[in-house]
Amino acid sequence: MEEGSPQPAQTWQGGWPDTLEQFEHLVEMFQDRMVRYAFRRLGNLHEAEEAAQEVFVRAYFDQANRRTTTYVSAYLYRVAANLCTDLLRKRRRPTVALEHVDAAAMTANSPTGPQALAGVEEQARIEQLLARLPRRQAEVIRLRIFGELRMAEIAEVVGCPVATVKSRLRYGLTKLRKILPPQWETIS
Amino acid sequence: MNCRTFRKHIVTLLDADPGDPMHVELSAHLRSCPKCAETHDQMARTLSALQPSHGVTAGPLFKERVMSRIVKLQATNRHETIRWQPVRARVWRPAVAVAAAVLTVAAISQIWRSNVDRGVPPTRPAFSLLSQAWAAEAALFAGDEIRHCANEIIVTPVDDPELAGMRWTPLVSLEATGRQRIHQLALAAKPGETYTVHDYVWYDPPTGRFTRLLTVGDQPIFANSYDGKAIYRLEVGDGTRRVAKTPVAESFKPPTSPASVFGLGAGIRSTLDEDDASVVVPAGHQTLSDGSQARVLKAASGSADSYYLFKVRESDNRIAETEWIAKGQSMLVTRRVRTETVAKPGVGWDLAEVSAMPVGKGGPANVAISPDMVVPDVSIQRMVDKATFETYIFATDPPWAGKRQISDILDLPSPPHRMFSIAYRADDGRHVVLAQVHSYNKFFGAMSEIHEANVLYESTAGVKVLAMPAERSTWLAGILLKSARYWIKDPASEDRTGYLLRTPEGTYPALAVNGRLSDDELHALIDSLVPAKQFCPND
Repeated sequence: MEEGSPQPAQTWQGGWPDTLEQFEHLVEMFQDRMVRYAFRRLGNLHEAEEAAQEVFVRAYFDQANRRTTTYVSAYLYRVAANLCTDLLRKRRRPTVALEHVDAAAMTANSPTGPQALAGVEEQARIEQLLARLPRRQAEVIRLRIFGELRMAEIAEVVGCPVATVKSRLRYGLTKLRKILPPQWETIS
Repeated sequence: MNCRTFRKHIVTLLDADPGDPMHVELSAHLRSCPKCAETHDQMARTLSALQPSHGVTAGPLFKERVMSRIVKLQATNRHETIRWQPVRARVWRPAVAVAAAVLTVAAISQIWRSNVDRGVPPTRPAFSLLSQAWAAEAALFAGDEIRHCANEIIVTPVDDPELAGMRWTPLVSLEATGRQRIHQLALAAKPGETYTVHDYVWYDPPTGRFTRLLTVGDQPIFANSYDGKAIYRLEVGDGTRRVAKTPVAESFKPPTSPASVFGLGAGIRSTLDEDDASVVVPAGHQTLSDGSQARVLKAASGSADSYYLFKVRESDNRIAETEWIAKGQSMLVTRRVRTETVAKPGVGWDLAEVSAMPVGKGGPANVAISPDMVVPDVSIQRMVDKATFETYIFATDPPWAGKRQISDILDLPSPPHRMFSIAYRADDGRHVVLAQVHSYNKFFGAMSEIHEANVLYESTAGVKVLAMPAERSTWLAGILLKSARYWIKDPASEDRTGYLLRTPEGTYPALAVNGRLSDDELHALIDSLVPAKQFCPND
């Protein structure tokens, strides 16, 4: 990894945790990422926390499914994705695109208040950019940036070879580079 | 490395893996090329610009709430925790080999069909239910006392002579080295004929001792046992029978998963176990011959009228029966008829009773055991020696792929012919599988459409790539990649590609790539195919 490139988050090195204590470490490592992911899908921080909790509970008990997964992180994201889809279906309303929601309304009852509000506004701006990319390229970039997953993990989540992930990421970043407002780079 | 290659692989630098040779090459180029360094900086800045500065995070007591819920649920048993046996994906599992053989051969009849049946939509709960039933089967062979199971393998009456003659089931045996071998138990019959194979197992969990005996009528056809010191195996010849004893090797260990050796569905189980869940669907309920109710699960792999049925008894969630259906007709039913704890085995751990059994006249003429359905990791020399046709090999390994694995597989439609699968696992996911199958050569050689097919490319050695409709190409690639899953590990990707080749000798190797190749890459790959016998001296 060269200097200047954002690095993927710390990776879970062990296999599936066997004890409650090990599982607690897993929760600690992935809790923010799971909440962020669910938040982006559901558009509500309270529901996102509930959903993320459910992801971990299911992961703990669902040994039948998780045993076929190579990467712990990929498994968690898949569970989270399915759970969010179910929740959205139960609400009987379509997926709320983050760029179209009122950030203040969404975070009004949020436990983290102003910080979440700023986060929502910022993510909405990012989503507006990602919405201009082909869906598959955008999803790979989301998993990379917000999921902080490595290429092989993303490949497992989206179900395609690592080479395909790399090419989607490369094309997506090239397009983003062209449409990125100049001030964004200055800010960062 | 040139600038074009650098830009193509630039995102590899995002994963901090300095040990990766590609990473090393990219880093070296990055240091030496200012233009590419600027491109890299731009990519890094783009990613940084997208990095959220106000991260949404979990609440302060998130972890505590999760752990509290888990502890409460455990206490109330709302989630039943099942201790699954660990899956050791990197260890060769003989039973997986059955998939390799069956799937590869299955492709014959499907490649040129205009409409490929994709079957019933999969359901994860059905697969989970089957997984639980496998776990229950494994539990049968646990405990402190000798366990005894008896199964019946019923060869059902079938009128179609072709179907009647093609029935078989996998049979697993244990060697003195500890290696498991998987054989084909061919159970042919005349049209309308039916007979039953009795399958008896005794297993002593504390010591790992076991006896397995298969009989038709009063004739033993297969026996394998372990008495704690040696492995015993029945050898049946023309009118002769003897029990061979081989002391176990120092490294020998009794099977850790006895159900995968002599359980109901041994040899079938891991095919599904290692695979994805997409082949298992619910198929209603059925009243079994003993009056009990069973849930029926169907495991299909591409054909609407050929599949396995697993009948899971509702009262104990165990597999009571398996049934193989081909072309809509029942081919074989394997039924569990007894499970019990006994004081001693009905047939000794040393097969003494089998040795003493009188040799009968005649016997089941249609029952035959073809050894070693699959032998993994064989040499080029072995492939050349065993093949009954000209085999080819890549003189140069695909530059993007890793180590080659050649598997020697029984050609199920035409034993004792063998077929050969050459598989490469690639780090970039573009795995390569080349299948060379006697049955393919026979089947395609007789098809006029094949002779008229357009040639997309011809190598310098005269190997031709035949044009194939996109859907068939994808389907063929899926089958070949799935058959080599034990080696390449990854599931087949959406952009996989299959090619049917024709060699100057008139054989039809099938090639699959788990992704796309450029024309140059494909041509180089085909150009590197040479008769394997030429390659042997350098092997």
